[in-house]
Amino acid sequence: MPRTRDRRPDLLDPPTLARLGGLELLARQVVEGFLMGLHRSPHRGFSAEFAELRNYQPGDDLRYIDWRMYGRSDRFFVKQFEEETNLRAHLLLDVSASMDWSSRPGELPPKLWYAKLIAAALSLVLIRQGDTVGLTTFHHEIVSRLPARGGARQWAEITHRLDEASAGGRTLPQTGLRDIATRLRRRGLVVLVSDLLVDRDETLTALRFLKHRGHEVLVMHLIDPGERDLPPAADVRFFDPESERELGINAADVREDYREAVEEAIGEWERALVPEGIDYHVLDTDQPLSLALRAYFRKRERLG
Amino acid sequence: MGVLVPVGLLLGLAAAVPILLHLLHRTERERISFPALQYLLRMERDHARQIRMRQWLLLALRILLLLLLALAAARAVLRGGGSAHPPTSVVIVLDNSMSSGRVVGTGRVLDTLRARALETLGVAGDGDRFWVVRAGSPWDAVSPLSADAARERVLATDVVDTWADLTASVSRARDILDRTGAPRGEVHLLSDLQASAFPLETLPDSAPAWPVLAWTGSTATEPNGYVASAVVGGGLAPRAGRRTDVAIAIGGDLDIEEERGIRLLVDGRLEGAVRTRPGASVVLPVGPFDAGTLEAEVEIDPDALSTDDRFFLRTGVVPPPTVARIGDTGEFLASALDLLEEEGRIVAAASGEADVIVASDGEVPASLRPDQDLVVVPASDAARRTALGRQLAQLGIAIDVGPVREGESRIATDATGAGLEGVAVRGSGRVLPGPGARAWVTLDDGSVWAASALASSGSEVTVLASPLLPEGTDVPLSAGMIPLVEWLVGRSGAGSDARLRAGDTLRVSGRATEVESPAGTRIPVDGTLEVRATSRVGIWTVLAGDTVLERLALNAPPRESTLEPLAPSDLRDRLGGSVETARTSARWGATVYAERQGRELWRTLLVLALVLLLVESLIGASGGTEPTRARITPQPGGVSRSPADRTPPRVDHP
Repeated sequence: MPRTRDRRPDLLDPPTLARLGGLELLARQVVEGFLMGLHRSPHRGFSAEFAELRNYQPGDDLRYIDWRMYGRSDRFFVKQFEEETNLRAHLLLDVSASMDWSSRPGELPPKLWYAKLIAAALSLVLIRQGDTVGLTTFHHEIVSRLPARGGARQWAEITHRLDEASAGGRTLPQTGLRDIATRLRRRGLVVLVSDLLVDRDETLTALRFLKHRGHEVLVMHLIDPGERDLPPAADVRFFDPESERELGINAADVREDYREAVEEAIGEWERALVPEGIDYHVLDTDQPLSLALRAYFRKRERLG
Repeated sequence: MGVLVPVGLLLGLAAAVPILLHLLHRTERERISFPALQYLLRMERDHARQIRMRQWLLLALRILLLLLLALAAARAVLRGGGSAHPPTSVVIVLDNSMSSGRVVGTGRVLDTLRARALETLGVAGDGDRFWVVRAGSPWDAVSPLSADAARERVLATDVVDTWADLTASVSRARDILDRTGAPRGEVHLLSDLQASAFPLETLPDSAPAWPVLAWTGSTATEPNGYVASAVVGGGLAPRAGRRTDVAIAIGGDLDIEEERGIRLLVDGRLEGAVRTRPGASVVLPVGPFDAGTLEAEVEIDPDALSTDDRFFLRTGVVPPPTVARIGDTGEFLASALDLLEEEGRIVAAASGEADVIVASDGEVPASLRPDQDLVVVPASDAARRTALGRQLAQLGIAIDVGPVREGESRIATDATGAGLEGVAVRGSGRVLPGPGARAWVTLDDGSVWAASALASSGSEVTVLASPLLPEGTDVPLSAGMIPLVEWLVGRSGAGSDARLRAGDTLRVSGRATEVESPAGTRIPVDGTLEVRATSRVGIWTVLAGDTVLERLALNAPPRESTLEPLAPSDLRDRLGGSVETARTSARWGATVYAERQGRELWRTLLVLALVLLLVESLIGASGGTEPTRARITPQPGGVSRSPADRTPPRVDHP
């Protein structure tokens, strides 16, 4: 297995991956590695729609023989597929101050680095499939907006925008979500990548609005492992880098309660989003990128 | 509740540490960036009361834990039980006198007393010091001991055949405590509490400070019979070839009606036997014996206290001495000599041939043979007395004769065996013994009435202070007259050791090197020429090397044979000060160490502290266990929290 992992950057843990190169190179390697693994997976036929039948020719894949036609005509026909119509995808990237945080600075990349890599990799996959993809970065306001297009130049532009993106400001995802909802005329896929340290009700309303407008929504909730468990320091004052609010507490005394609170918050997101048809995935920033890509492909698979 | 080491309570100040930490941390906590603060706020909102209660509980537990440790360090004790006590000096007065050898049930009284002493030592603390005073062996040196050493000394204590003066022993114990300067001290009196062991003459002058705890569970209830005395020949030494008799007095409770067998053994042979009741006297005829030494033993049927059921006799069997009289002996002395002569106890002889010359009225022979003894009875006349003094000096006798004094005195001590104590002496003179002379009879004013010394010829000369006439003394009218005269002319009384008792101090001659006990143990004689450790009844032998100088019979002290106990209520009168009593082992165990403060709690406190520590850990862990590794992992159709579904490697926290 180590050999497979060596050839599959998508399976590498982020600290290792971060040492391999820049965002563009990394995204490319991650996508290549992921697609290579995808051919070996049982999931098939994700990007083509049935068009017509043609006579079987030696070398054709036996899985595509239409056995029903064989029963009626006693001849072999092979199902013919055609390329899917282009999907318009839009990536919505949270670049608020909280995203520039790592529980282990110098060892574990910050959430923003992880989010950028996800965005770059998804963009590459979408463009390779012939889809169009756009990118919006936001915190309490829109920082950058790149309309959806296809092609290699679009991906280069996306990676450039991602490279330039820096963290700052407070998180108000509803700003970006409502901006996209008003700008996207054609229904498409909206992918929100955020740590969701936000006003939950406002964000949910914006997501539901987006869904109501006919968009498919995929929420990728990034969590640093250090946000799941309190740090080992016992008696400290925690402060929010966005709001500067503080709370003094003995971590040792509330560690278990805190862990339950995080789980409960995640559960609430899940209970609120999934019934609305919004896909929700929690991604720990110490986990390989393949989890994020797999989440996307599952969504894309259902979209047909 | 009390503490044995109060300084340990200072550790309780550490209880302030958690409080201070709690207060300091409110203002000086480390400030760290934490974007997920909203989760913390959410948690605090949901569990604020629970968290606050847990924090207060943890704070209380930590303070309580420190207080428990402080109490344990201070050696807290619970009053009302247990044996913990502050360091105490304890003097154990262990009565090992003859009566403690009384058999009760299957053991001796001393065994019970030792058991109580061991109970005392069994609950001793580290800081306690002990002294063990053996009441029956007052000659024993006493030194401070640890509990273990005291236990060994108690176990090594055995019954001796002596009398114990418990009043004196308790006074000695209190003196020891006085000298130690210890803040706390107790005297534990372990005895059968014979009333005779508390003589009134040794009552303490003032109420002593040190309390006494007295054991009252071994007092005698049964009667005791014993041989009170045995006298050969009415106090006169038996004469060779003549029969004599032995008068035996049996002591004991007069209520005893049962007769007991009495046997007389001479040189191990049964010479006579009779039966009688305690309180009676019997006379057994014995003899005749050859000249020499007669050693005999009287025994009665044994009872619970057996040591006093035997009585040892030793006397000389002598041929009648030849006696010459010079000067006017006076009517009474003459009659006494005549009687002794008629009885064949002396033989009259000329002064040149006599063994003994009785010189009266100031007449003194000019010279003496080396083997010839002299008895001098002075005249009342002052001039004659002065002349007598010069004559004695010429003979090289270190005794002078003093002038006659007015007034009446009484004989205080009589070492002749004639029993003259209390007999009046009027208008008497006195003798002034010089170096090397020995006083035999003394008066209550301290003057000497009879003394002896060796003349330059080697003869022994005995000088009386006054003539044996009723005008000068009641001695001629007393029963001691004949024994005194016989003693004077023959040194053959019932034996100077007739009244020696176990425990008496033996005074030996300067030639003596050792004294051998009846058990064969030899005691060296030191420069004091006194042997105090006469712990056994029987025949003691004074030795000069391997040569026997003297053999002495020591018998049981009659006061020890009187077992009647002193009433516990009378103990305070006899001992003074604070006196507690205990009759049962349980009561004894509960009463020793009067200042003890109860059951020591440090073990319990430590266990409680451990339990608290465990509870504190559990409560702390319920709010702060180590992070688990469960993660939310994307799954088809939603969110899964199964960690097993993750294939990629996981990055652990540092």
